[in-house]
Amino acid sequence: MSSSLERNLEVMERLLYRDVNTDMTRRDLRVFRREAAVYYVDGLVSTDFLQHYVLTPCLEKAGQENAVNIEDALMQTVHVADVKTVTAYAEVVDAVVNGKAVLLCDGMPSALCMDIRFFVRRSISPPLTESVVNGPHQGFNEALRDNITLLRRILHTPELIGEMTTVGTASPTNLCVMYLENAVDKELLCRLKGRLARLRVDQVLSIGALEQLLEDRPYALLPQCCLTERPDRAASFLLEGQIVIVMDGAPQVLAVPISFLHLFHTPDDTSMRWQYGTFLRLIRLLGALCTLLLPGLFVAAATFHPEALPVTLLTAILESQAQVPLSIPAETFLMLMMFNLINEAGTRVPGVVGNSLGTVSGLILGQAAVEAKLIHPLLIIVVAVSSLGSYAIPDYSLGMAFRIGQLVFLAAGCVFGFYGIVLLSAVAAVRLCGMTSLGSPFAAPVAPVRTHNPDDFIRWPIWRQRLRTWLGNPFSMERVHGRMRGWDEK
Amino acid sequence: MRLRGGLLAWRSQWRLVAAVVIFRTMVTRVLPLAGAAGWWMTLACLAPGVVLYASGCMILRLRKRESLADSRVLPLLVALALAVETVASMTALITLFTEGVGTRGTQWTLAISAAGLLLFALNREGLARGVYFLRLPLAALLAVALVSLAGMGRVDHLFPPLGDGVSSLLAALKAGAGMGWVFVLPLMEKTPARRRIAEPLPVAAVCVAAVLCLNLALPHELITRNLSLGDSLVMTVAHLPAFSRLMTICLWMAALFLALGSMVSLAGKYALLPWKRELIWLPGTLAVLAALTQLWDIERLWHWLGRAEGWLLAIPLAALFCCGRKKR
Repeated sequence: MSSSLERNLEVMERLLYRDVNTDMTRRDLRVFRREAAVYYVDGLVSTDFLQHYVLTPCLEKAGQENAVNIEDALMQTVHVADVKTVTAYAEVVDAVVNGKAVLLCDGMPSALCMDIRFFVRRSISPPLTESVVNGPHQGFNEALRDNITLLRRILHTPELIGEMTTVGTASPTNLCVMYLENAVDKELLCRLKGRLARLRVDQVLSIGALEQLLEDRPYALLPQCCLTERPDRAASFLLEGQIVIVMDGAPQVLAVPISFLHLFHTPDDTSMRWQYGTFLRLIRLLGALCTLLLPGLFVAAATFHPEALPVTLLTAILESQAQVPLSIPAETFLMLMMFNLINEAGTRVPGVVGNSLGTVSGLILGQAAVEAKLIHPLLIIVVAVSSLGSYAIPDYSLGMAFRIGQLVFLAAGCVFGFYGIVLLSAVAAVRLCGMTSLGSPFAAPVAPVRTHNPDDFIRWPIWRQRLRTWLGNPFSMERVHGRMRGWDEK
Repeated sequence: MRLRGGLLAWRSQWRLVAAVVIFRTMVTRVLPLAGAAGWWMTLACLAPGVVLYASGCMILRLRKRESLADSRVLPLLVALALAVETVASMTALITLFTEGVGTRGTQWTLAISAAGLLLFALNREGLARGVYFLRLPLAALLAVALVSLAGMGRVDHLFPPLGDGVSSLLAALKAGAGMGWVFVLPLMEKTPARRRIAEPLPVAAVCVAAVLCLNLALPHELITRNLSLGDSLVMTVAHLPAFSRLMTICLWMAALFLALGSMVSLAGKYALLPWKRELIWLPGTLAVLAALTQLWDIERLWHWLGRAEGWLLAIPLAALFCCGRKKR
């Protein structure tokens, strides 16, 4: 930057496109008998703070003797906690567009960046997609600083590190990479930082987009990172040695690396007694299997292996099928597509109307289809159970993956019967076991075996969970020394 | 622990390959010749392989070597044997589909489908881990099949204990002894020396139990010399109740498919081991080549495979020779 304010203003006017950018505001003033100017974006800074803690103190010293070191003098004048000196135009522009106020002064070859950001944001509210019975009802919002604060309010330790960085070249987005210093695997942390540093994108508008840019297998159907909008869940990831990415503008945070089993866990599991948590976890797993396999197995059994069905059930299927014009595979495909259509329409229509739409569509269409003899009633039960199963999956992305996988298994069942489903299951298991999340095996600790916290398919009692997951620092896996229930002498 | 995970995965993989090779050879080559004597002929056919394996272990221990992977010729021979077994298993899988299941598609289209699925499943680390992951479902299916077979069993089906006579038994021994080569596989990887000697026992025990259950369930008269490949494969499930039959065919399919994948991936690995190289496309190419063999006349192919399999016992002998040599 130049020492001449005139020159600096000329450059800044050009870089900020002030001739057309009406919310890029400049306030000229005098301080220490010199010309000065403050740049800020209207709406991103607190005008009260600007007025009281920057402009007023400066204007009060407008007529004072010219300071020898103007930079130090200005530092002492403004009443703002977070003030930084920058010397490059790019840094000044970056500070302005990020909501800071920038003070330029004649004779000063630098600028003071003052953090007096204040903008409209959503208040902390209950999470929309991860509601729980037991546990806090507090979700992240879209403000990076608020989300970091929420995490720091849970984890009161200086070992909680938050490294700020940006992604995107045209419009950089602020990120905070958070981890627990003693729990994180340094190799994985370096890998993540390397990936973030080597991203070549103009902008990242959502955390979902960032997830796609970071994941190991972009063509895989399954998600390899976990999105959560719950601070308590994000904190539990951190305590396990995983890394959490908080992004500005995203009401969820991204946890990496994860395993397949993490996608079936909910915060409820830990809040409840271990028997209840285990039971719910197994129910979820059953629901996921129903979603994936039930339509395919039904078609395979009814089409290829009627001998495997009880005679009464087979008779019922054949009798109702005789009155239906479509084949069983076609009916099943039609019903699944109808379910997906209703689901998507219900999601897009706002609030209560969406719920009503789903219920009404399901009831009316199902009933009408049976009465019109387009489908037989058993199929409605199969599709309903498999759909309920998809809703029992706690992770939305995993639910989507299972709904797509359901169609693939249906096709295998239609073409090769049970054998197609078995072969496809074998392939799916192999692909699942070959996947990685930030380089860590995705199917661990089941395949390959890893030393781990006993919290996988079964949620063992809290006091037996003395280890962190295998995803954290392998040299510091023990959470506590000795017995957790130290009072229990038995 | 991280090394242990890899070791467990590898152990599951070679055990699956060994179990599939032994059981397939017993069902398709030995049982039609040995009849009611099949179950103890399994032991007899495995004996040379087990003896050679045990000798190999002892010599490795004396020479203080961890594995035979550093040998120059042996990995090539193992790769060759795996390639032969891949073609045999592919033929069995497709024949089970066309004759056992009676599903849609021809030998050729099914071979292409199987190769396509294999290409999709060939994942360097995922395959071994996948086999380890699926070991419990496979074991559950095996238990269902064995319990069903044993439930139908009658002790008098084990008579005559010498089957069709000594000449048939000698022919069966000649046809089946080659399958003992699979016990070279555990010598190819580093295994804790204390446990190494017992490595083949679980596989041998499961295979003997499976053939014993088959012998118990099937009268000697039903097991004839004229059984074709398809008939001998179908024979293993034909007399089971509907649900158990379905489960057993599913087990056959999954085991054959996973073993096929494991065989081609191991063959691809060992083929280039002397040159310390690894080509990721080689297992896929082997899978496609195995599928292409299904274009030939199946009976003739099966006959030639039988002759080749008879010579595979030469591999443990070569292994023994390699064990005896000093480490390069």
